[in-house]
Amino acid sequence: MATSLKNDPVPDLDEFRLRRFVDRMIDEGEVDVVEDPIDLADVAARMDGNEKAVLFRQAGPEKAEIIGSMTGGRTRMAMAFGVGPAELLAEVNRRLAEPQNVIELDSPDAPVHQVILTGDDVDLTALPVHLQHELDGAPYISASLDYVINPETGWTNTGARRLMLRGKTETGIDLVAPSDLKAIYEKCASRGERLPIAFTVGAHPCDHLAAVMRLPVDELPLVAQLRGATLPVVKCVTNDIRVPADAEYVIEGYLDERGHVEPEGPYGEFLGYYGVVKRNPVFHCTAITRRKDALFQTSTISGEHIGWTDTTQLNAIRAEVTVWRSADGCAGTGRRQYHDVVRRQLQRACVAASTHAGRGTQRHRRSYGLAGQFQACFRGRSRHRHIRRCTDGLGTRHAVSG
Amino acid sequence: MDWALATRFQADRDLVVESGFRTLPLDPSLGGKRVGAKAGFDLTLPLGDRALAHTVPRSAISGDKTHDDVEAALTDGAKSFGELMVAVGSRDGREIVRRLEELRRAGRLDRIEDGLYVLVEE
Repeated sequence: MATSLKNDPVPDLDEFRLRRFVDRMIDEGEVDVVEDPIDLADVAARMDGNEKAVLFRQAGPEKAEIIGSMTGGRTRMAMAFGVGPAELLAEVNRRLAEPQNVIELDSPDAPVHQVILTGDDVDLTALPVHLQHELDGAPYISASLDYVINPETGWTNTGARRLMLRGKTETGIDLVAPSDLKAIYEKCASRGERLPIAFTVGAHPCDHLAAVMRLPVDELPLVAQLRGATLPVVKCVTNDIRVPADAEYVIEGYLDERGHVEPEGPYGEFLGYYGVVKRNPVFHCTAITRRKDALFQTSTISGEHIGWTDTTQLNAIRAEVTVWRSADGCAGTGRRQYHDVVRRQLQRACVAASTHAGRGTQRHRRSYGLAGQFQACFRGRSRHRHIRRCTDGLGTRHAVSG
Repeated sequence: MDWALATRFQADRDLVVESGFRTLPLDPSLGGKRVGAKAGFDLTLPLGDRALAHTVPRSAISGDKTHDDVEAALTDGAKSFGELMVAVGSRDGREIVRRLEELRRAGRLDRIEDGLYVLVEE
């Protein structure tokens, strides 16, 4: 369980709310603001190939507000961490080394509990969820960050998983790829038990990065660390999971005990192609809580410019951090020795990344996928230093979580 | 280009390496030699119809309304969710989710290859 210090001063509950960050990005010129009414059918096309984040002021018949592609740019991610793009990796690493507290709020104090919907009032199809790609199996809630408690450790695990609408209280969820959540769920299901789960929708970019990280730790404190601040959490209304109390929405419920039984997908995936239909568990929603003026969030996954999607930018930072951390154990290697090793290995292993990303324009290098981000992480550092770390990182495997 | 390299290239299958090419002698990696090596990266996809897993997702759906409701559209043949939206003239999609849920709960809905929705024969 996370550190819970009730005596700590309560943090500013709007400092890390998504809406405040969006307002800042509007001022910075990073958001394409769509003032006119728009059908949900047209939302995806407006974001596809758009370098900016997109704020829809009046989406669907209910004129909902939706922010999309918020983390889909290196500049925006860097601003979320209070630094310039070139300093982002160093800042993330600095925060990962600095402990932070988690403070639990009572429900009346939690902004995300300002509106609580349970029982017959729960309706996922009342949320402004749009069809993202032409051949998707249904509209997906795509900016959902999952939180579960691992019963064996008591730790909270967080990840980023999309929810395929199946009805008012049901969604599909993709649990095929190896992950902590898949392992936790399958143990539960094998005992014939449901797994309680909660999702935030509408979260600060730091929370999104925490969700895609693969570190074997209690991940509520990890969210706090990446924010670089005390994390306010609140216990869910219908289960015991603690979630960030300053989120825009929380969707609570459970994965049922039947296992991988229902078709889920297809879904336009982050590698730029479709993931096919799979058999997957079913999520049942038992409560939706939100702020009074909650801002719904959608994430860009696939599309005509893969470098300008939420997933690519988040995964790129994750990859950089992973490479960086894996090199830390080799700090004692002699300078001459690693210089020789590196010249050989880098030329072979990184030839693709360095030649391709090196030829693009500044914008290409900044916005493209992994290769571009590796290149970005090489620039501006001493040759010996970056090369040593990169090469060592490529040869080292780490435990997978997430 | 980065994307194609990341998703269409297998180094043990698609890398072509040849040596003995004339080159600019200014490249210090040549070590004084007058000829150098080149590498080719085959990033192509097969031409023609592609399986779903090789299809590049598009964001837009378009077409004319052809049916009055979801049931009629499915009676006419299996459809993807996007095709259903077009067929019934939906600019939203969520009402189709609710209708599909009703059909599924009534045991009348199934999904076939590539996730197309289909009515179960009564």
